[in-house]
Amino acid sequence: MRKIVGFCIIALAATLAGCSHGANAGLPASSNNPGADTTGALHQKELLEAQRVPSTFVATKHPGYRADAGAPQAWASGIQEAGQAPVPGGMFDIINQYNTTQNGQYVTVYAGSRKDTGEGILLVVRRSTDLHTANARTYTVAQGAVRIQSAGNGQLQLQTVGGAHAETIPFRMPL
Amino acid sequence: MQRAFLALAAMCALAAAAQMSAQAAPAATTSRYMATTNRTTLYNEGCSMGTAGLSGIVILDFGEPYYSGGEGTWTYGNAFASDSSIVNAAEGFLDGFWNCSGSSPQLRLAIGTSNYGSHTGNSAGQAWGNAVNQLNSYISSKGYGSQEYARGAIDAEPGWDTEFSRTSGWVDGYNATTTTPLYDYGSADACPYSGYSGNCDGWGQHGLWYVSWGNSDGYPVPEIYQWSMADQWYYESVYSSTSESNGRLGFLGTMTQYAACGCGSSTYSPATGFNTLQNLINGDSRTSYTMSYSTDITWAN
Repeated sequence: MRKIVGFCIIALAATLAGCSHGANAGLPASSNNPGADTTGALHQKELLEAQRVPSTFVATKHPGYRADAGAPQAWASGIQEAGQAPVPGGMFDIINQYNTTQNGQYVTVYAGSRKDTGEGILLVVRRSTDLHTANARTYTVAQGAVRIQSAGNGQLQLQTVGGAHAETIPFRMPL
Repeated sequence: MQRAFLALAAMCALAAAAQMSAQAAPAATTSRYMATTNRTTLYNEGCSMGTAGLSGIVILDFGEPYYSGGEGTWTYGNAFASDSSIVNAAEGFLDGFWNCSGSSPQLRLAIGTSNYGSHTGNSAGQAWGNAVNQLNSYISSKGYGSQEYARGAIDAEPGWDTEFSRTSGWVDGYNATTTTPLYDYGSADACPYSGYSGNCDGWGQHGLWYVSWGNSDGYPVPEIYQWSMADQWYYESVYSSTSESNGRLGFLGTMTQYAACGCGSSTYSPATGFNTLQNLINGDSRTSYTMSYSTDITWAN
């Protein structure tokens, strides 16, 4: 019995040590994981990251928004063959994009495929003209990758990519 | 003896509760895919964050490197933005945060680009480092240093430069011009994780390590949109801990894309992304590290 109790106390003490280790989570990271920083390099980088820009004074604060951002910026239109899409490269292969203005909103349609399934997709991003709000929706449109071939009057002509025979797929842009 | 045991058990339970509380995911800041360099728009974004009293990392992603009479980026507004216009816009954010925050919140504002496209390279990296230096000079000259830091950032994704040379050139260029931290908010595409052995799209784990942590300015703030991405970064930290000279990865935090993706339930919330990576790295003494920041990226400007 003594052995069991002794074991439990040791186990609890060890657990407590682990708990107090975690309770320091608000401190700089290396100070709660001292054993893992065997080279000191991690701590050096932490110090570099925390370095402040020297200021000889502290500026006065003048709270409040600035109301006028000026006229909405111009929005290019048409099909663009290059350009990074604002989506992770690990999830989507984007081939090209189409930009337009529709119902008072800026619209970008990205065409390509999902990396995991290979399905052809369109990612439609809509922004208000002041750019303050945005939403997006993904549409699966084919079994394989697609590119935008032409566009007009709210309709896209998509072309399949990579198959033996390219197919043309119409897509009505959602309002 | 039984009482002592129970007392110890109770203490441990309390301490465990404290531990769980201490490791809760931090409030997520809002990072942005930038479609504009309008200084007033960015002032208001900084003011919003300051008014909310939030601290943390904000990455303003201005898109892929581009050259048009000077270094810059091709933004998500389908237009070229020069590095000087990006600096000007970011200064607006710094002004807005300063004016609208109390005296406590701390902002790490990172201007972000990517390794997408043919303009990624050494000269673009040098120019980006100079732009970050200008922002830190601005913070100093305006008296914002007690609450603000300027940082560089790159969305470095192996799949966008499988030869690696453009990306490493960009990182070398950045390091040549500044000692200011460079946040890698990229991915570990095709890198190893549980049940999968990949070569990071040709980068190897060494290449990913160099971009995110091995270069003297590098700090990882990885994209964690789903479990496999967290596991890939955990494996990367194991690799760094066991095979490189500067130990495990010092993750500053995580980036999620919950507000922007349009991917539905297939993408993690900020708290889930943060906790998933935190739990993975803390489950292994070779990689344990306490992260501090969580940011979620949106398309709204």
